[in-house]
Amino acid sequence: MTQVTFIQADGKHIDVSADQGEHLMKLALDNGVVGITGFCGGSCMCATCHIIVEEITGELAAAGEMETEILDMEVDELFTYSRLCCQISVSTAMDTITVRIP
Amino acid sequence: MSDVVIIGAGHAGVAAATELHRLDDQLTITIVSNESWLPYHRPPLSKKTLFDAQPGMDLLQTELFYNTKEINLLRNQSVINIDRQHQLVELASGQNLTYSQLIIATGSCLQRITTLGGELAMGVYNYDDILALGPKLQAAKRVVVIGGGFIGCEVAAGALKMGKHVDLLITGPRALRKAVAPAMGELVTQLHKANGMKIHTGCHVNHIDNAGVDTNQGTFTTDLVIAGIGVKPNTKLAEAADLEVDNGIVVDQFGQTTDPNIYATGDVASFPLAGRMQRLESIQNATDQSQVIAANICAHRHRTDIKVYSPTPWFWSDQGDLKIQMTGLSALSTEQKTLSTSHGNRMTALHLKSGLLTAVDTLNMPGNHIAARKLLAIPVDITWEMVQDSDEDLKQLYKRLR
Repeated sequence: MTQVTFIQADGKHIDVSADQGEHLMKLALDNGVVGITGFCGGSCMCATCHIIVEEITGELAAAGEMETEILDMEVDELFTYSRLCCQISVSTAMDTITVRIP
Repeated sequence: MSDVVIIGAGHAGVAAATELHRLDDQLTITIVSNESWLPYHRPPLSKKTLFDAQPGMDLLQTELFYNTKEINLLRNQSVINIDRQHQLVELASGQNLTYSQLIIATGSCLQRITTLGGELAMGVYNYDDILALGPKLQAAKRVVVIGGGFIGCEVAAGALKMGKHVDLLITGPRALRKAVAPAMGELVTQLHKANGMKIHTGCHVNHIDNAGVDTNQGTFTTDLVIAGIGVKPNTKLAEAADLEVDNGIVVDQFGQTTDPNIYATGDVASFPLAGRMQRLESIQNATDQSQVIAANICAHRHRTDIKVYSPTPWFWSDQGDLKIQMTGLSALSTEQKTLSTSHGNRMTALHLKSGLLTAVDTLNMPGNHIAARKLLAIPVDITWEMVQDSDEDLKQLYKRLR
């Protein structure tokens, strides 16, 4: 199990335990995290699931070409650790992850 | 009595409810769904869910969203009539719902094969279809897929990846004939073939029976027949209510039908864009059009400014390892050009009309897709010469023009 924390724009923390293979976007939607829409259902097409990785223990795979391009072109204010959370899946190598919704 | 009644709980209906609630959380909204499930994402159904041994579901909103006192989701309900004079919607259950504003988001339904035995061909439209088809697909060794559009190609590519023998029957000369530039349709056809898919072009079905699919090119024996031959808009309620219908419910640039209290959005709506009436079957259209309509309903109620729906359309399809993305209106184009950066299983094709860029198709070149979406959205005419002057780099061109 991986401990995932979402920090909403209003400062509210939402803590979720996640199984291997679960996508952060689905976790956010299933737990009613405000600010994550994910119109395209996780196909890396719409940039409505932008998050900033605040903290991580363990490993996180780097963004792929598609994700990098979408972030570069679609997100107005980009941060060093900006990601699309539909492209982040929980792995056994990841113990905890904290992400902030801008 | 609800302020707004929404018929349909697909992407369009739920996007409208979400945006209405965001703009005015005092509005009472009733969504009528003819499905038993909480509203869910549809694109994954033919791209992923169908091929999973345990098909999952991605919800559009949590159950909590529909449990607030303002929002009411009625499931397993069908609307039998819209009474415009009394501003009410009649349900098959006998219940009547009155409205101040009505949104018709009834979507589309599958075209069925009309030849003998056509009912044996299964379709992919909603989650119930996946539950019916999934176990049959898991068990099958040989699969015949009829239709070379997005759904047919997605299903065929997914079944191939599962290790099935796949025959894809296409009436035209190549896959995706109506959707992408000829060169890209040809490349996609060749790439699928190279992966082992048996693609039969110019293939017309005579009849289907339990032995297989009989065509002008012989009989294809199979364990399972799946058809993806397109959809048609669910316009019956609108027609019966005497709203203008012409290949979809006719709306203006504000999303309003011929009745000022009734709006239509998503697959079912035909709206003016680029000088003609368009009906778009896409997530982009369902979402963006619903957001504009929600804003206009709130504007109408609060006497504020209204918005025009004038999108840069975009679409995508995942077929095995192929990601195909389209933006703009390629149906209007008269000429296509392929960028020289295309190679192997990557391609970018531009559509031009009177020398100006109208649409861009990309295959495994996501950067160009995003750049094209941006380029088509700015109020600048893009010519082939401008593309060449930027070394055929669409991202560079956009960054120069913005």
